[in-house]
Amino acid sequence: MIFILIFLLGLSLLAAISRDFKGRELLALAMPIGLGTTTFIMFLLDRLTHSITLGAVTGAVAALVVVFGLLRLYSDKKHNALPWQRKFTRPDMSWLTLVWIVLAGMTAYLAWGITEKCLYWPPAEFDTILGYDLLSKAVAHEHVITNSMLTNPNIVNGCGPRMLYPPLLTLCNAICYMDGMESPRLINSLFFISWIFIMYQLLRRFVGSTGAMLFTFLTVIVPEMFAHASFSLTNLPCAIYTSIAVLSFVIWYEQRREGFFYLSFIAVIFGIWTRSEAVLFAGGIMAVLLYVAVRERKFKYLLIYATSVVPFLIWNAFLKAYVPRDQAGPFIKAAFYDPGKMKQVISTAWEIMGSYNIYGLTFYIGIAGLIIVFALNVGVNFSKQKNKVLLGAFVLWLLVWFVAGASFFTIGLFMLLMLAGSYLNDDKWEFLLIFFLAYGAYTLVFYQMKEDGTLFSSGGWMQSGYKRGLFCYAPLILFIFITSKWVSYAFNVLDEQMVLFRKRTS
Amino acid sequence: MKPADKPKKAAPAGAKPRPGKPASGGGAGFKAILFNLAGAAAAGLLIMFLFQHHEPTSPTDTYVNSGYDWLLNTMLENNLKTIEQYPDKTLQERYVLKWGPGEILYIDSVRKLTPENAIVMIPPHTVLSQVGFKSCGDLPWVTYFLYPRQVVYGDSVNSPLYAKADYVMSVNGWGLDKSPTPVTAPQPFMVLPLKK
Repeated sequence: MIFILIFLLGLSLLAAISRDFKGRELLALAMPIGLGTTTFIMFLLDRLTHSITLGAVTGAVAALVVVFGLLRLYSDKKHNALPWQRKFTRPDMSWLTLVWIVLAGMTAYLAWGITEKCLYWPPAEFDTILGYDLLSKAVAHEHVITNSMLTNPNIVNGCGPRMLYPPLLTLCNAICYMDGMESPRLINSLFFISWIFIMYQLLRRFVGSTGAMLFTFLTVIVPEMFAHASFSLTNLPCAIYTSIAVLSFVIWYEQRREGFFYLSFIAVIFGIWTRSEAVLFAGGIMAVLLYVAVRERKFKYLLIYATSVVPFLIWNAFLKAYVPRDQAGPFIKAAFYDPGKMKQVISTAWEIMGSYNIYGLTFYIGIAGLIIVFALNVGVNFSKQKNKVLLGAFVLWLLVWFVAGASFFTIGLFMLLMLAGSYLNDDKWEFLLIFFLAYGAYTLVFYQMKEDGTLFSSGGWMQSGYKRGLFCYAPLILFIFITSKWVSYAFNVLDEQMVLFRKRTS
Repeated sequence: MKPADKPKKAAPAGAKPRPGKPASGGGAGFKAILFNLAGAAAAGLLIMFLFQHHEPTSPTDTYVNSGYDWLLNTMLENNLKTIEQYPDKTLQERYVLKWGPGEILYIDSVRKLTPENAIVMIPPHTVLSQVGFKSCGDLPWVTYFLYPRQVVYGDSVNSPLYAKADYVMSVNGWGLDKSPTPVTAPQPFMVLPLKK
């Protein structure tokens, strides 16, 4: 019952926010948005009444469903488009191709298999047991976040930072326990299944059905991420929210559909409410919004988006006020330059990204995609002076690369070149900027960590934390490729050749 | 061009008929069927390439499709087999199935033999490691499985819970002396009440 209400909450909230979303987008997004919103309700209940009970959560969620539903009906009435006034349209099947059926069939089989696995096994991951799920049990049993686990110094220090992550997954899991379930694994399945539909639906805003399905399939089968679809950890939910945030933002920027701006805003808040590192995406998006603000003299969007970091501040203030900690942070607080350490960070990063066992071919496809898109942008409009300069710069970069190898400098130059290619040819430069800023900052965070034997060791910060943190970036690098105007055009042409059921025009 | 000047791009709604081409709503042409068959064959080949199974000859063997091969032919297949074999196991039995019959069995016994509001004393780290208990040495780990019971180690004499403990988990003779009544038939593993 509670999960149906949570689904309706997400659905009604999105429907109330904007009329820009299609019905199938609303259905795909409803569960993650509903879950995120419910965790904020639970946090508010904790702060206001010090009592997170199933009855109170159900009541609050149901009340909000009614409020958001009425808001949408009011908006429908204003637009003379109440549900019973709308004309019936015949379903359009022009998107259906055999390629789609083959890829969707395989994706569905994999999703079914991993969901079976997820729901069968109880939580057994170290980070879950020594972290968020222990806290979830305590929230469900004691009805407060500041419970006997979070206020116990022995438990908090024994768990390390795991228990102190923002509370989205903790509170989601607590709903399962409050509802009488023995295991909270349903949450992971709900996230993963929704994500498959979300990816496909959001990609369809840029590309036809075959391209969207192919890249949804390639994202689903990223080996490490697929394995995490059956783990009760925060990394995958965080990646889901951040990829929704970035893709929706790109839709807003490219198509100026207001609803997607607010979807991006909400998704990044939920990402930050899952793992603080999602704040890097808020930073990347705000850099683009700063550009919009300066060029268009419109500061509204930048100011709105800046408030997305408020949950990050609230959670840190909450921890400071209530949680006894005696851990020294893992970061070096002063700025420094150590080329040896930088090289080691870069080589370890590539070791992880390039591992066939961990990320499969994802980053190979992504990087090849960046170069192909650059080549297409430069090659198709080669008569333009700017593209000749870009080609010259690329040749120069290749020379520097062969001489100096991978370094902060050469990788930074590569990013700049790719960005310049997409900006000068108006091919979703904002997507690249967000990706490069967030990814660059994410990698530098690890460079800034203390090397006390735990940074590069097996199971250490990079081999474990960095590896899983890349979940946010693996889908995005694939999406940058498929949403490029040239690649999406190619797939659309292919789709045209495969139309089995033509769209009815009358 | 300023971003604000961008025309609203229509969202791609699948393949649209080209101007001049029939948009009758009728069936597919021969060419479309041919393209579909070729496309489906290509998609099938891609799937076969990605999930092709390789028997590794050494643990360090990797192939271009190692990760994809593992996820379908090892991880998923083995798990689905186990699920099919043991569909009705309880949650605790599934832990044993996953981790083997180790500490989790003992912790489960403690859970069954003590009430939810109990404070349980478990052996000190030295005793635990002597008997090969690794995870029980982690207070959050043992608390996770015993929650809402509270846990205190036998050497945490300064802990406020130490004096309040209701039960003791006796391992290899440790803790027998804490029982208020003499233990007549000592066992290697016992859960004893600490209050009469």
